[in-house]
Amino acid sequence: MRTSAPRRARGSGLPGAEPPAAAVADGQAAAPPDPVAAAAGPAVPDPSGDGASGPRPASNTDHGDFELIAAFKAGDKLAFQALVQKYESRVYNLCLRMVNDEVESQDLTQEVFLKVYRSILRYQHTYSFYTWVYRITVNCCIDYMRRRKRHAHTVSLTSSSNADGNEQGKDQDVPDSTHVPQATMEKNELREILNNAIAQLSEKLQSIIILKEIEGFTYEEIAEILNCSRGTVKSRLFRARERLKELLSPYVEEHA
Amino acid sequence: MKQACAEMAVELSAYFDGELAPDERAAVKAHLDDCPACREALRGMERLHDAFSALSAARPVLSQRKPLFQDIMAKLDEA
Repeated sequence: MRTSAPRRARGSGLPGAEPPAAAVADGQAAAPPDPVAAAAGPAVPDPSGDGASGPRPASNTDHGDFELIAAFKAGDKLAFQALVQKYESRVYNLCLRMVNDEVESQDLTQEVFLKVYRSILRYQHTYSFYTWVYRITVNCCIDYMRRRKRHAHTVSLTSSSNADGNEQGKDQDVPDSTHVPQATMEKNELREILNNAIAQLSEKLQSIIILKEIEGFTYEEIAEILNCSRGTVKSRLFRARERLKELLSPYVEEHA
Repeated sequence: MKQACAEMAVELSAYFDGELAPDERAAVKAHLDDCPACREALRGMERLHDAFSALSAARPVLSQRKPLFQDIMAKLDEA
């Protein structure tokens, strides 16, 4: 019999790291817009048994960071510029995946590097610089998401007394599907469904599933970023997947 | 869900991620050999992962946009 093989830990997922192991091919665009089934392929062949022990891409991300940090601490501002340029895309992308808003992600990226700048003198080389930057990024995003939730709650309470409603606001939620090819619509719908499901997770579960499934970090790296134990990473990831399965199940059944 | 499956659930998620020690991995694999429900659960994780990959591939990246460095340095100068 065949069982799915464990995936290799994908390492840091940082610049120079290998791409996700199971990227969805364009050819699957015509599949039903089922967030799970759409991307389904045949089961992964027989396990090779090499899961966690498989070779991880060398984490060369840190290469040069220590020297740059030391130079910055010694007063070289250009060294900080080099650090920003090295990590700004990664920080921005993580923000974008967490808050799902391009403008806010740019602001959050700025906020992250301002915090890095202000606290880098206290940074100790006990763990990787990128791990530290990711930790600041996740914390900034979680703070932002909590503020957004509070704001949405306040707006919701305020607008509930408005009997006229907001037709313009409703229209903004409906994408214009005119002249959009069917396959593109299905892909967009798939992404929208998954995005909505992710947004319904708690901030902690959102962070962990994004760090694993999109950023491709190992449990050890996630534990460092989130400042928790490896066991916590393991159990939270399980809970995040279970919750997503639950959230997506009505849609899966509908399209079965 | 069978008792053994319930006990296996968290391990199965870590097995999928390739994060188990060899002995733990062997135990999960032995369970999978006899459990169609857990094999299906594993396939579900694979499908979810594939959906995430599609989501990830669809996002614009900063390299296609204006670099933020100048903005960041301007903010630092203001501070």
